[in-house]
Amino acid sequence: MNAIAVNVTAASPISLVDIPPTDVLSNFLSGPLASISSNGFLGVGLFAFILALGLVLHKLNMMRTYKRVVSTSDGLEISEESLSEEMFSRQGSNFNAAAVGAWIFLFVAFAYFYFLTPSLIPKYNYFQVPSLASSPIGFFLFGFLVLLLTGTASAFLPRVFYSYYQVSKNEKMAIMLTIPLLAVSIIISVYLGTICPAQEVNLRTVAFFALFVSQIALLWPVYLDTLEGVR
Amino acid sequence: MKLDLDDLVGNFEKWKKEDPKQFDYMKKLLHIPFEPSGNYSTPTVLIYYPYNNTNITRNEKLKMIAWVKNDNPIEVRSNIYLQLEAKGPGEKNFSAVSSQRVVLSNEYSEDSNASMRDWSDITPFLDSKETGNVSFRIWFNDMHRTYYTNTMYNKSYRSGDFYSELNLNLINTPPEIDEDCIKVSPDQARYNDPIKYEACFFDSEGDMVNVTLHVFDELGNEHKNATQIIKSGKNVTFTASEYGFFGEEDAGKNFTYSYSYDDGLNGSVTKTMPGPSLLSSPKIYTSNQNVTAEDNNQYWWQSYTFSIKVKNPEVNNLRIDLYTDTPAHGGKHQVSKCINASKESEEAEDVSFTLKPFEVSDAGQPFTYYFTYSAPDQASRSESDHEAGGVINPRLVKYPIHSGVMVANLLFILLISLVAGVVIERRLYR
Repeated sequence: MNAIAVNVTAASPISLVDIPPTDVLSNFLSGPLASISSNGFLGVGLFAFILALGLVLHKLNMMRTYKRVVSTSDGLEISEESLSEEMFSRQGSNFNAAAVGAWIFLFVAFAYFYFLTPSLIPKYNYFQVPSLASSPIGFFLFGFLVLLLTGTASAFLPRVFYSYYQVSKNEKMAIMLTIPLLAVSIIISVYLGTICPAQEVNLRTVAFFALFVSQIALLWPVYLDTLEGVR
Repeated sequence: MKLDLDDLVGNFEKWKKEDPKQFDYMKKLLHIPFEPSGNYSTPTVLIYYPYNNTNITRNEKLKMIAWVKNDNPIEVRSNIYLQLEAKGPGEKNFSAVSSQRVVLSNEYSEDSNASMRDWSDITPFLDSKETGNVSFRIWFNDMHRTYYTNTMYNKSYRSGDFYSELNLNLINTPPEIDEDCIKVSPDQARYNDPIKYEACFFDSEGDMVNVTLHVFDELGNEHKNATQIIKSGKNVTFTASEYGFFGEEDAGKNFTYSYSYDDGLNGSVTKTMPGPSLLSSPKIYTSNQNVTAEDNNQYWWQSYTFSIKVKNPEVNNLRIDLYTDTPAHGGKHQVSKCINASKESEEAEDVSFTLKPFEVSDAGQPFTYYFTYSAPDQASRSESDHEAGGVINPRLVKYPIHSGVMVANLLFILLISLVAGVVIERRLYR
């Protein structure tokens, strides 16, 4: 019997540089991020967690600041309310308008991403309301409904998150850049809705990435203050 | 002149006819009564019944034996004529139940001077309408006198299997019905179809069974009935058309039925059972139901044309309804249409409905459709077959992303979000 000769070469370590850029993007889109973006309940939970964490950290930041002020005030009585009033600083009108718009975009993008197609949360989605889904302006009506439902939150969250912190120019730029980023997420979600039940996993991952990067960017001043406080 | 016997008999017959009075007088003159000799003794006659069976049924074939003892010398003996008589339950008098038997003078055994005659396979109470005590006796005539065995002795006599009067008990077991074989077939039929009611009855004594079928209408009133007399174990069949149970006016009605049955003595009645349901008489003729979509894609938002051919010679305002059936929307009524009778036209009318019957939640699902009509069709049904129409295309949204409608949707929501940001900033942040 003839022996089969097999040439075995030692595996050489692969560095990121060796992989073509398209493969890097492909791996990025189809890796763990794709898995997370495909899980509707996990994504909704993550979104809610990041938002809730921002609110909790903001509260802790305010308490920490208050304690520091009290400890350095030589017995002077300072109330939390008066300190909050003192800390409140107005941002520019353009920034405020952009920030409110960005938060509205965030909620609309979130709703479009998770509830526009039945692939992520099959039981609760836009197509479960046939009269809405059958309308030519159904997508707009759905987004407008989300806007109305989250209007209060969108109006007041920027005041909470940005009026008590020193928001740098870069941070402001990042917050304002979330608008086009979230617009991309919204457009991709609408596209995914129009081709349903066909799916584009890579595009969905991009929309997911845009959504969560924007959310973190919008909450960044709070998280950054917490990090500085911890240091 | 020589007178032979035939001439004499002929004369007697002539005299009897022509002058009956003189003929009777001549009979008196010629009558010579028989007088037995002084040492003649009346024969002893008893019923011999050597069986333990004292309970008898109407159909039971009995055997009765007459035992005759005649101790007279042969030259004195005369012929003895025997007749078995019986009295049924509730009857006051005995009556003959079989033909006569004769014992000639030389037909006795030499040692016991006894002889026997029997009546076999007799069923004297076959038509009795009662049960209870029955009695047997023997009437006999020894050419001198007539005797009855139950009265000729000083008292009722019984010794072993010998009886002057035999008393038995007539019993009866009622017939039964085999419930497994009760049926009416077909259960649904037209009024003039050969609808058969079948059942099977048993009588343990083999009595004939009177079976009456009662047919009830929808109100529970007796519509018709019919009776047959059958042998035990035989199937009884009532064919509706043969008995004229149903007429055209009964079409479309539901009937019930029951049986009453007896053997002449005891009977019973079955419970009332459903059937048959008479189909309505056809008023219209339908065929060729069909559906076509706008194109082969079969999207949910497209128009579909549903059609059916209807020949309607007599019904005015015939209502035809269209229903569609998908997993998301079962039996959904879509639309209805009324058409009038067209007596002149031999051709069937094409009734069609063009509409958008589906919603977005029907996408990707198979659908069926059917029509209902307000008059029965050729199959006596008021509903057509549920015809499969294929699978609706799973695509959910009509407009592609680059369409004007979808671009407008996107622009509006983005623009309104931005405007809302500006408005809120102006109202709440200043």
